Amino acid sequence: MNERALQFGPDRRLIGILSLPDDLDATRPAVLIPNTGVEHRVGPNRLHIQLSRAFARLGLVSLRLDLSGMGDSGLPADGARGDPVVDLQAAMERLERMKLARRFAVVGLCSGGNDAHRLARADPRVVAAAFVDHYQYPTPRALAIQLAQKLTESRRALNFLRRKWNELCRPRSEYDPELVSYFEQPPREVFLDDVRAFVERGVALFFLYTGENQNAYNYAGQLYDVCPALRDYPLQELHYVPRCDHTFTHERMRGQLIEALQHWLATKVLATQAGRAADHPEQDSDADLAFVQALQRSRTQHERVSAELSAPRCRPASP
Amino acid sequence: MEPLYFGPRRRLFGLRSEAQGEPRRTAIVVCHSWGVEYMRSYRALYLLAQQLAMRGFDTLRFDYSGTGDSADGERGITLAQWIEDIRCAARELQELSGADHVCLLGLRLGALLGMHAVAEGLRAQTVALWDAPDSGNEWIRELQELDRVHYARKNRYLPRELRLESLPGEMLGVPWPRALDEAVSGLSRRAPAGRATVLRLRSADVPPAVPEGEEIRLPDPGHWNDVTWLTRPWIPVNSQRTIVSELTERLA
Repeated sequence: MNERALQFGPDRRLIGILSLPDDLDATRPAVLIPNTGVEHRVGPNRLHIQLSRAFARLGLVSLRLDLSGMGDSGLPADGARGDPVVDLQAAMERLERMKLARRFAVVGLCSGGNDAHRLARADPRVVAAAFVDHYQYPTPRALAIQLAQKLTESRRALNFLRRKWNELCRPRSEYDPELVSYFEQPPREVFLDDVRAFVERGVALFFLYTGENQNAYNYAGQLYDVCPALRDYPLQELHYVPRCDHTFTHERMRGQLIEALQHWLATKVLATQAGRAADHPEQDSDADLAFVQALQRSRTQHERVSAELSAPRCRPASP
Repeated sequence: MEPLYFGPRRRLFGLRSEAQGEPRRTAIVVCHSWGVEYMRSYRALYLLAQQLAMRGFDTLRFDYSGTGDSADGERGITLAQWIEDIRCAARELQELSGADHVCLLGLRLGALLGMHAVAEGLRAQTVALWDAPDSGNEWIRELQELDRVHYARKNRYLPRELRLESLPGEMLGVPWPRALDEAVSGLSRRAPAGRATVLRLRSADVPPAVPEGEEIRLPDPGHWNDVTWLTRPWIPVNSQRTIVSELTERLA
């Protein structure tokens, strides 16, 4: 495998796994993959590993990392919680010092999507951002679909009533795993401003929503109704995959996500970034670079993930 | 803490927590569980390893072949390979630390694997079995039941046409090959006579089993059969404290 563990950040307390392609090209963006929920850097059912190996086959360097206090990464020395944006910027600086990339893509699922969004907002080095099941804003059509589902399926109406009854009557323990919240989405106006800024900066955008949270996102193109300006932006893709759950439990689902991301990276990022990144970073004798080159010489054949080969292509949502 | 690749063609990934202060004669190899149990206990075992290192134990956590950050896909893994991985990890840690003794500390399936490795000839002075099921068969049945409840629970909130089904050859989304299923079914936590000292670490919600070896009761629950804990962080702080203190007292 062309993989290497990296320790970086203050006191080298952050850890990530770097995946390298057979042919390094530092003009291409490197892909950062932060944690999904509280799962460590391998991701749900090793999804992040499959992603990073698929990105390497596209010729992209990637780093899947543990943010402060997650997986094998420590907390700041002062006992503070740590800031995912600061951690991701530390990763970017490390990859820049290793002369592996100067531009970055970030791929985040769920809470990782929130981290990816905040990083893309804060740092102009981010030229592409993929968000999977992150912010979901209701629309009149989504609310109508939700209501129709509840009215036509008595089972779901009963579940709704039962949940409300429990919320009213059952005392909650001090720590209830059902109540863990991983992030708060920004108000709709802030989100729209952010998207506008991403479009102005030319950041390539990828959104994918699964069918698991029917109460929040339940039809193809819902995000276009929230943010009409996005529809005509050529560097974006929006997917709705209803027969897929939030953690991509089945191999088939993971294959769909990987294929959709590969397609977006190839057509909306690599094809368009190539012209911009003419300024090749100069090579130096940095020990890290020597290590990377040594790794390349001893590269082995990457394993192929059978699911990726057999999975059907996931279609962009129709407007 | 130092990440490392080791074993044949350096295909295994591990994290060594180096002993702080005066190193002890015993080094500890942590044997993870598998699948959803591996994921939800990962941070807890990181913290445990750090605490053990602070008490002078060199500690190595590692991923079996086809799991976590180690090489290979999930489809081709075998029990024999996993046992070889444990041997490899024990050898690596002894070489790195210079320790005379090895303790295998296994959680759930990791406890059964550790015990099997000792039965197959691995020299370990102590085996600490944390919430070891009675057998591999019982562990598989528990995960299959969780798998069933997990999908039933998800489907409660989904329209009929979007309902999900459990797939044969997977447990909670992780491929579980038939050959591995058959081999793991036959595992037992019974200790091979006289091979190693056995410590049984039992979480508060785990029922007592046939007495074998010394039992250490842990204050926190494991929640192993509770579907609401499948994707939640499990950090049994009090149990960790007890384990560190008991191992510090018992191991050289």
